[in-house]
Amino acid sequence: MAITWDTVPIGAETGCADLVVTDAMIDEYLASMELDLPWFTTGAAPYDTRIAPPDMVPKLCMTALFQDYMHREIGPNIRAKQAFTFYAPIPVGTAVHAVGHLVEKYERRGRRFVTFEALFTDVAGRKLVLDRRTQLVLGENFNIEKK
Amino acid sequence: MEPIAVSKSITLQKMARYTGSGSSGIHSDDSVAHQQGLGAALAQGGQLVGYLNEMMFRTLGPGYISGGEISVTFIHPVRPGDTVTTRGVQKESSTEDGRTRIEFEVWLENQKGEKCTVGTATGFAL
Repeated sequence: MAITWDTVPIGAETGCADLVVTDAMIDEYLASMELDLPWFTTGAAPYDTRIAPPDMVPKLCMTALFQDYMHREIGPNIRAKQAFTFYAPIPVGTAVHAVGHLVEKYERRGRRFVTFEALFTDVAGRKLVLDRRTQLVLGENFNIEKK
Repeated sequence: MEPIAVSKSITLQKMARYTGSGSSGIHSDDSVAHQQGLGAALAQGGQLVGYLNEMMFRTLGPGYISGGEISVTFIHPVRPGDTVTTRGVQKESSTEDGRTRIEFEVWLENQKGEKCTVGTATGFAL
């Protein structure tokens, strides 16, 4: 760890991300998830245009928002918990902005966890998605045996 | 209301494609995962919660795309060769801004019936 557990800074900004949602991004995400719902593939009522799967944008931004910080400052990790709130559809062409923050750390059963949050908004500041994820820090004594 | 379940077979190729080039090798490379004490490559949490989201899209549609919430815990690793299926049970409903919000207990189980990802999801009835 570049910082010690005691100094893991709650409230710290961990990264920011900006992207414009494109058809190619959606196509690749749908293919990777084997997802073929019409709102995402071509566009369908009640939406006026094609929209992105609402969990796509957090996926594309996770490295910039959280993972670069985790690997640089804290170390290897895996996801322990994930929460999303989907506020509004994200049409193709939307410019999305988010800032990540480290919001919590705790120890449970000898393991250490850190929680991050990022609120994704459009250029008008309208809320799109809230991403809250908790990462288990992989210490030297941690081991998941392959079953 | 019963959620519309989806099943997916998990392969290393699918895990690597979902992960892309910008993420950790623990989701696409057995040797990297082994070095970090994980045994072998395991599916990314986002991929698994994505399957639960798909179940909710299929069940509630726009009522989940706008106003949906999900919160899950990853309790058992998913690896290449597994087949995972989403499941859910309706728990409660409430009125919010004149619409009916439905809460489901949701989980993802493997081909042995072992729960791998568990939590809750809510959205608005159509």
